[in-house]
Amino acid sequence: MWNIWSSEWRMTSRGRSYYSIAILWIVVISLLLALERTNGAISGYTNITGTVVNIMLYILPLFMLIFGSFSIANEMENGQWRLLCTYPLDIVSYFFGKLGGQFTAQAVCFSLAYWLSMVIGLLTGIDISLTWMLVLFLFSMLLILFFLTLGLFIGSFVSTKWQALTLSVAVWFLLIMIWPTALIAILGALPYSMIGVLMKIAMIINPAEFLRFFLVIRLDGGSIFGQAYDGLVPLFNEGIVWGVLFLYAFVFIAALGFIAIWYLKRRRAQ
Amino acid sequence: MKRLRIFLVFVALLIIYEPSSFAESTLQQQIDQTPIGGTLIVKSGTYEDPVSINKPMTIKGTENTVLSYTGEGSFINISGEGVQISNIEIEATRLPIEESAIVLAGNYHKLNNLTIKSAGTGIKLDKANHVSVLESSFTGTSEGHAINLWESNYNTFGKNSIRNVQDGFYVEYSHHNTFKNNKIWDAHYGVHLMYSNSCLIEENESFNNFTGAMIMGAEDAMVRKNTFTENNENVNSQGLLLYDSRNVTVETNEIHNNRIGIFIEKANVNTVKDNRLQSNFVGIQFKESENNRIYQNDFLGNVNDAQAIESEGNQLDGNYWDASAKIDSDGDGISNLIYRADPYFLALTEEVPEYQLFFQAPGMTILQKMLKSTDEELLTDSGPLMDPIQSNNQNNQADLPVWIVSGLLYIGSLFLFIKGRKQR
Repeated sequence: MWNIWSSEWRMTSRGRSYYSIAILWIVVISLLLALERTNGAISGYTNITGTVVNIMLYILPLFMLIFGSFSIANEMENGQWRLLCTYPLDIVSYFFGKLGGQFTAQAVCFSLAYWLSMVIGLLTGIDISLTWMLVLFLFSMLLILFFLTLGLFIGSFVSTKWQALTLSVAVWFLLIMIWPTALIAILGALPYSMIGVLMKIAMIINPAEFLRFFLVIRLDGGSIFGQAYDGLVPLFNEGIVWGVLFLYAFVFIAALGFIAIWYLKRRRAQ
Repeated sequence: MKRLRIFLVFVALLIIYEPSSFAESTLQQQIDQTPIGGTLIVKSGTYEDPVSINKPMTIKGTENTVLSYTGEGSFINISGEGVQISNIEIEATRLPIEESAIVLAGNYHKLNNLTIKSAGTGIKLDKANHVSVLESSFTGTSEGHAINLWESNYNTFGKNSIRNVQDGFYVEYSHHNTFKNNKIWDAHYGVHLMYSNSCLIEENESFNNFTGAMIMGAEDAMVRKNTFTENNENVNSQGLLLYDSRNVTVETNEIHNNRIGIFIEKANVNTVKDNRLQSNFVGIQFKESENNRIYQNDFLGNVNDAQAIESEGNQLDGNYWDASAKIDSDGDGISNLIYRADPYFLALTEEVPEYQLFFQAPGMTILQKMLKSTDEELLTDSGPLMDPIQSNNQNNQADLPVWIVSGLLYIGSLFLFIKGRKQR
């Protein structure tokens, strides 16, 4: 597994696009910080923080889905997968090695850009609170992790990069862009009493929503969700939140990984 | 024999005198024996009977003086002028809701440093004027008021802390009263003015109540420098409610995390300025209200900024809205773009509160286009400000730990970035 991990990390880091992605993140994050600047000090959850988070939510999942799915689809397309199949390679280490390698490469690239922007921001005199920085950083890291997992999951089921791209964009569009509209349309057809429960289930299914919920509460904005979520908000407000996050990450990655590995094993057998 | 007879008479006299010498130690006796303008130091004790004071005098407790009252009528009745009471703890836990631990009438009384635990009302002012109640604390059972005013004018209430009562201050037909520096929580209404004019509500903290302050049928009230926060315990909660009131000035208040920051209902010609409304579900809401002026307020991170229902002629200008798109081409600090507060999100969550989870969700922009409100429903600010009036933080220099953490993490990620590329 560690071989695949480091080879994936190396391959991604040496790719031509790695620098351009780094530059993209630097530009985006610096611009977002410049936008926040008008607000004076940056600490709690404000409308501008909401805008920053939204832009992160637009671009990070899309890129991560594409990177993740391409990472496997590429090997399917160029015959490397067939070559790998001739080795006595454990699919479990293959999947998690790829996830680890991709995550390391993408997380390093993003955090370089993120912390460089923060340092530049501090140097230009923006007052940013430590909590704000760390919460937003953790939010981005987990976003990268969850959507890479989802990307690799998609990659396990496709055979060309085109399919991978189409599916990635479709998933991104569903989970990010059309999510509220789709949910409201579906829930509108169901009995009223079910809406509350289904909204919470939907929030847990969609990692982007789950992480956004986490971030808003950690930045002291929990009350904006209203009384319907009074039971959940304290769970994210106290020390137990780290346990909840860990459990969520574990279940999410294990579930998607399990299905993807099962399917990859079937493909190898064919 | 004679000696024995004398002895028996002596004993009998002692027995006869015993009740009266016991009565001498009752509170009423002690009060009656204190000369006009004199001072009575009371000791702790349990009292069954109410007392009344109707002459100028001072009653003081020593340290930890507790008067436990087990009766069911009001405990201390004060009338006349110039009664001063201080340093006493009163426990009236058997009081019915409609009774009060202390009832005041007359003028110029001073109550200081009292600790009142009452099952009914704490202090009732019944046609009392120029009274002050300072630095006292009130704990109730959510049913009686802490302080109740009836036709009482020119009174002052300062630095009191009040919790777990029906209303912190219930004020009816009482004018020119001052409420300053009080702290009220876990109450129904923090300050509740009814048909009371020219009252001053200043520098109070009202939080975790159903409603921070309600001003009903009152004219010329001044509400300033208060903080109304976390008043969201009820579906009808609000930070500040103006109902059927005129000429009320609301300025420089901090209004945070309430269900509705300021609710103006059937109230005309009021002024709201220099307030900071943050993280409320609705910042400001009008209902059947006209000609109110709202200017120079900061609206930050409210789920819905503003909404008007059946209201006309309310003037919003020169506020800061963090949700608005802003362009300032001539550098005068005022945005060229008119801000329209669109209540689409309110319309969405009115029937299904669970949809509040979608607040500022990335997909909401699509939904917003679909739910676009008609022009009549929009409140507009013709000259929204570019920058907030009150800065978040005066200290514009980040702390050292922020520098250290971000610097270290930057260096760490740079190291890993290079390592990733160089590894074999």
